[in-house]
Amino acid sequence: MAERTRPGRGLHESPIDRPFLWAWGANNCGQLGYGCVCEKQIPSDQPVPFTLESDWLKSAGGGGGFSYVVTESGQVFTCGNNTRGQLGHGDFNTLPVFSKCQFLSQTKIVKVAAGWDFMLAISDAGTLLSWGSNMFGQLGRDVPGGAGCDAAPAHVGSSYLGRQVDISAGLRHGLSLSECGKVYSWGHGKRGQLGLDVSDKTTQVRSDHPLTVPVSCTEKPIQVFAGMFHSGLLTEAGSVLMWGCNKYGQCGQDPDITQTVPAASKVAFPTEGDKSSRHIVSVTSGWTHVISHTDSSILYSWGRADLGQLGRICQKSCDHIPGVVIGLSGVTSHSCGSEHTLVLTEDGQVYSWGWNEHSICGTDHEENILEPLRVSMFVDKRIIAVGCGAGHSFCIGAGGSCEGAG
Amino acid sequence: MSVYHDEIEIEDMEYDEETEIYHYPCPCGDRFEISKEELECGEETAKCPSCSLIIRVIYDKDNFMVGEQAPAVKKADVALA
Repeated sequence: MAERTRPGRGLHESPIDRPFLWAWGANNCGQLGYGCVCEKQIPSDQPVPFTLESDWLKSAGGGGGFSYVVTESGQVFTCGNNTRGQLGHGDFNTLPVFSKCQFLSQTKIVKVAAGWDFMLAISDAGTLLSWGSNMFGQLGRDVPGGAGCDAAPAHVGSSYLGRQVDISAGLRHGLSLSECGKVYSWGHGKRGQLGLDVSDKTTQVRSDHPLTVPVSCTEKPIQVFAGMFHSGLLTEAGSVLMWGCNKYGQCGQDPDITQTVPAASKVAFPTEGDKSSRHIVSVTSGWTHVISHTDSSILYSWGRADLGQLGRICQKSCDHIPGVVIGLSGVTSHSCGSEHTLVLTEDGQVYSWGWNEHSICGTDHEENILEPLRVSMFVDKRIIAVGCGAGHSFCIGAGGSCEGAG
Repeated sequence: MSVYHDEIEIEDMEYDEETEIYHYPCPCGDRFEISKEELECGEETAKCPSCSLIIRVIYDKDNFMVGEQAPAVKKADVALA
């Protein structure tokens, strides 16, 4: 069980003068950005080397063996595995240190999403870009020469999509949300993750361009999220709708009844208690588990549970009914890797749980973490953002003992 | 033997024609691997070189009998599958 004592030291004593990035977990392709390739790395006081001129780190995360950082000014830095051009540098050289995407230097990027070996991005103008592998149509656009990948970022769709406000990347598919509330999907669709009309067999299997996902719910979508082979959206009214693979109950339906949810369906939250506690304000997804939190900071989890993914004790290896993760208060954001989760609380602390091989959860051992555990390395720091790659983790923080480093 | 992390049809794996290895994403960020040669020998466990997880590969063993000429699944087929 996580410690619930609030760490008081140092939090308000030093001003946030300079953000730092820390990384831990699997590092077989140099995805942690420390300049080396090794089996694993536990959290250390040493921040990831980063050179920024009058800019701030905003978010960090990654896909399978590669990573990204987005800065406040909208620049993108990437490192790690680059065999499919997923780093967006126009080449296929794997890099153990973060390097700026020069292709995007004239574009202000506001959000990125990483799939297994491809990336999606939204510019401040609301345009959609993609790069990396296109083996399953996950770039959502034509690729020069019809190749299986494109190492150079390029625009998706353009005019017909309208202004895009959110994106998410599954293992092999992409999702986006337009300003007017339309949800688009493309890429691999064999498990129903595109949520398209079941009568059209072709687009059910693969779509090379964004297509509108039919959503019968009248509530306006405000966020999209993708897992390994499933997809979902969050509405303004706080409802969660999901579709795609439901093998582990990750779409909130009983997997003994259905293993695929073909069209967007509402996830039913437990009915007991105060109704306000079920107004969801944010959802993130791992490969087969889903984490969400409410406006009253209550955290729910559902889906696969065999490696501790749900952060709560489950009798079975999965649970399709959203259950409350206890031991956390003041949740501000969360991020899921393939089989683990990081949570950030309002006091700047990081909690983790799930699969812990390579010390992905930030411990000095590799036993799976079954309930929220405060990451001890950061108790004297104020963390401002958390992010995950498939098997690795990031947090961005300021102050503490690392001032002046990097 | 550990528990299989997943059971995956060979059609859902990506095939590298140069190395004659079938790949599938592993949660650690590396890839589960099984070679065409292993499949020909009836092996059905794909391993990850970086972690302890393993998956079971579902395939028709008759398609991988030693002496058969072409691999059952080519890259192009996977992409269209």
